[in-house]
Amino acid sequence: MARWLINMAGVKITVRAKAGPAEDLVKLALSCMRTEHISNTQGIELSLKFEENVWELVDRSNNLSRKLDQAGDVIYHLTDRIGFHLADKAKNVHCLHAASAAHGDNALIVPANAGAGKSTFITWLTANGFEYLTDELILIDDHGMLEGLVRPIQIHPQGLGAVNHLIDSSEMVQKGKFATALPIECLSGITTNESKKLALLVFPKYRKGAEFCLQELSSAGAGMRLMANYVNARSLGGDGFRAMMNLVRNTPCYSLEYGGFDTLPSDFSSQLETLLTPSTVSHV
Amino acid sequence: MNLDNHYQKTPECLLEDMHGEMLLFNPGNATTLHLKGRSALVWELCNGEHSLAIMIDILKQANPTQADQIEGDVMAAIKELLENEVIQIVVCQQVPN
Repeated sequence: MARWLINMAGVKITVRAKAGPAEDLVKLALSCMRTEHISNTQGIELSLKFEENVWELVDRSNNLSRKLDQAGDVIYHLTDRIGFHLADKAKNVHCLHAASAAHGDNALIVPANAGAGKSTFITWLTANGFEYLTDELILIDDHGMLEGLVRPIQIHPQGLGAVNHLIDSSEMVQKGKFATALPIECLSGITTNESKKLALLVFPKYRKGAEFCLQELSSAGAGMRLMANYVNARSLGGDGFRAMMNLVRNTPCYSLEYGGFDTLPSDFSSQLETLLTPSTVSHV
Repeated sequence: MNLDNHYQKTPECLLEDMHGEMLLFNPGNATTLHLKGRSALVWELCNGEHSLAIMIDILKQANPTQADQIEGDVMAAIKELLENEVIQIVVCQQVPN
């Protein structure tokens, strides 16, 4: 039996797995997260076992037991439970439903609801030299320092076609009915679990047939979009709202509409790198 | 909608000026509103003192050329503010004879 401890923002989550396939799969799911091996469970416990070709994921704190038959779905649900508990119990940080990637010390975040193309866009960024931070959840403090839930990128079936050409080694891909997990290594990408400074907000919208359009957003427009993806707005109340508005005021905010990666300009990753460089970053 | 109704702001709501545009947050239900155009003025007038009819009159006097559309705009703004629980109807106590 192996146990990994995830300790972020004052939340302790132990993932426990039986030796064999369950241990191997958890190792892959958590390979980029900051974890430590422990011998006794601390905090919330999630456990995984694999018997008779069925995976069973148990979250005792919520009386939740899920039986799954595909490895990609196991990674999706396991990391989803980790994200849920972090967002539910994190202290002194703001949790945003957002993807994130970095260039140097600065990060861009991509807040968006499911279906907006956030995971496919972050896959493209990772395959184009940005450091991957997360495709799902960021924790950010009042000073704009952020860290991500660094899990394998989860691509829903309808998004797979868009990213297939970015995958270098398909043997590491973990297929699922609900989501396919792309470990960063299969994109020849790099990742980090170090804190980065928020330097750019990009709100993406994939629309079939749309032409590329990158537009600076008003503070109010960006504020509305950011609040729609602010996970712990209810628990942090007014203080959280004011902190989010300060982040928006001090950070360049853009909307991005595109109809596929082939509609992006050939120098688009360089444009984003320029927006992230210290001379153009106004965040304090 | 009763033109005699008076409205007041829900006390815990927060307003932020975002470079000239107003965002309003209600911590009670975690909703955020972008107060555009007349909505910001209607929100300001919801101080418990003005009836809906008086609010409409105040805005008509301030914008006489748009008087025809002001009533509809104010009604729509009040409806949106009520639905998002950022204002409340003031309940007047009847003084017994």
